[in-house]
Amino acid sequence: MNGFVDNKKLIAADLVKMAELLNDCGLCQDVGPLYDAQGRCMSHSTENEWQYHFEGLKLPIDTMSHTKPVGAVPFDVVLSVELIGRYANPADQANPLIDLKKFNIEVFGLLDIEDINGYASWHLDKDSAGDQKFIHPEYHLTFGGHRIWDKIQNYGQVIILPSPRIAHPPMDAILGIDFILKNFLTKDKHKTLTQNSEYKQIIQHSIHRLWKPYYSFIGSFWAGLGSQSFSNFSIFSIMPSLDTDI
Amino acid sequence: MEYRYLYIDDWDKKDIAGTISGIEAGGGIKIEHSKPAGDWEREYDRIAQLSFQGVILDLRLQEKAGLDGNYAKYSGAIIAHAIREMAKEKTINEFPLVLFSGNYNLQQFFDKTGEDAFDLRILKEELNNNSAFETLRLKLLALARGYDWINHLNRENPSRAVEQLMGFGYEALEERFRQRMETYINKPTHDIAAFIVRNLLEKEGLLISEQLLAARLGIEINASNDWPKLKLILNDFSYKGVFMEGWSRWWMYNIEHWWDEAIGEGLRLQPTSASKRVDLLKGKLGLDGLVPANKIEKARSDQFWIICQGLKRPLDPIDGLFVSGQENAFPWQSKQYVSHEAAINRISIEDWKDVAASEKDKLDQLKTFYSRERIRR
Repeated sequence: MNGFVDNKKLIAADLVKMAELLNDCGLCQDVGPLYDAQGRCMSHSTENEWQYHFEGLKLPIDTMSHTKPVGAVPFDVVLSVELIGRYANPADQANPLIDLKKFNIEVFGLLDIEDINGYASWHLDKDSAGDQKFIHPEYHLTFGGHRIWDKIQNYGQVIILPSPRIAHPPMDAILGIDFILKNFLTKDKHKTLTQNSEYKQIIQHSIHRLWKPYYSFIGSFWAGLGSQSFSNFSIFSIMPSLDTDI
Repeated sequence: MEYRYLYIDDWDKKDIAGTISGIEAGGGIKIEHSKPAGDWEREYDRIAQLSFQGVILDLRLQEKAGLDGNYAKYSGAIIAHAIREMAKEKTINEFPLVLFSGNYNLQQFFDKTGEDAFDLRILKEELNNNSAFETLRLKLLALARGYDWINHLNRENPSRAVEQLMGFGYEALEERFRQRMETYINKPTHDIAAFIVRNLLEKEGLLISEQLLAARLGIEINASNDWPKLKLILNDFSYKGVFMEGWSRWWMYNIEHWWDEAIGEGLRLQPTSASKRVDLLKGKLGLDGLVPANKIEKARSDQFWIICQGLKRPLDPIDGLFVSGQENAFPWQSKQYVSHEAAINRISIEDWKDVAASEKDKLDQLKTFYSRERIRR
């Protein structure tokens, strides 16, 4: 990242910048959780790892066609994140996250049937090959959050399973916010923000920190490792289907 | 040490003697009543020679004759401004100014620009019981003592000064707050005092009130016999900075840290349900008399984190609507919400006025849904 040595101050500064940008463009009324995250990042991170956590960052959500049940109205999409990561290091494209304790995207809204409380959630998870009963990629996105049964009493005709777990590159708070804005708001609503150069710069920092190692590592499966080091990665965790050694 | 306040009011002493003795009852404060001088020149000179630690001013001084038999042509607000100017010019010392007024007069006659001159505004109607008197006494004490402290503060090193004022390690203080506080260190005492009272003590954020502390621990104060014991345990985390006597507050940073280290067993405070929070507290602290708070009607979550401005009860922000008029809040201040129940029924609406423009649509939807539900039943 332009010759800066990655450190907790840069990460914390990006969280605050995102908070200011979200607040200024009017897309988020209460950016408190991001300030909380910044404080925790500064107090809990060490020289070797960065970390932060926050709960309940509320972002707006647009109604969209094909929403079911008909008449359901989504109100807010809420992001909660808790993670520990490794600093970006040009000498070693290491697995960027040490622990992804929580990455929940929840939608709260109104239903039009028996129950007024509508809910949906997705979560991003990280686990390695060793822990798995059902083989799936190390970084994966699943429908249904942790303890979704605490939030929903009535499932209609929907069966919710923990599978499939779909491969998705790791995300931090910054990439999570970008993911939500782009998936849940129309382009018109978010473009002033997402096309803002300061916004794009923060996204770049996170992409460099989290996606560059992930994708470089996957690419190395075909291009070969060369002299590049990719510690804490295993191709068969990241993409189990590549386990095709005969 | 006793702190002496001068109380300038055009009412006769006999009419306010009861109020004065009510406030003085707990000790530490002496209030001396005086009618306005009547003539502005004389009033100005009188103020320049004051040897009190604080001044309480009635807003309207024009209703009854002053000391010299004349009706004052100036209000309490005008005296307040004069005092602040004199203090800035160092003609007199800095001391707290308290506005004392009936609600009617406040609504009719008080220009908002006058707000800045006062450290505290008290409505006469609210002083109607012992608890109100005691609360006021503690604030008067805190202000007088605090002003004295700030007046004597060594301001050479701003970060050191901030640390002393806050009674809290500089590094642990929230960055934007401490930067802002530092810019105030070389301003007049009353500017520093106003900043601290208005933006730190009177607003939830870095410091939280007893009510919010209980909500965040998931506790129903009125039903929990061991709440006083729990507060004692948390005493190390209470605010011990300037004006502490008048405002019971706790550092949220410390409360969270304590939870993570000693109570939570790996569970973070905010995403944990109230009942689980209380279970953990009871288990770890051996306090049986703790009862979890209940959800407000129509709320779905018990991960309480804020107080509903309408019902004054614990609420998860996910169950709340953002209150209007918070654009100028500082980043370290918590935002205010009102529960769906309070919003739909306009409960205590004078306290929150309106939901934010971006929430109006949601409120309309909620009203429709809930009225349909009533019809369905």
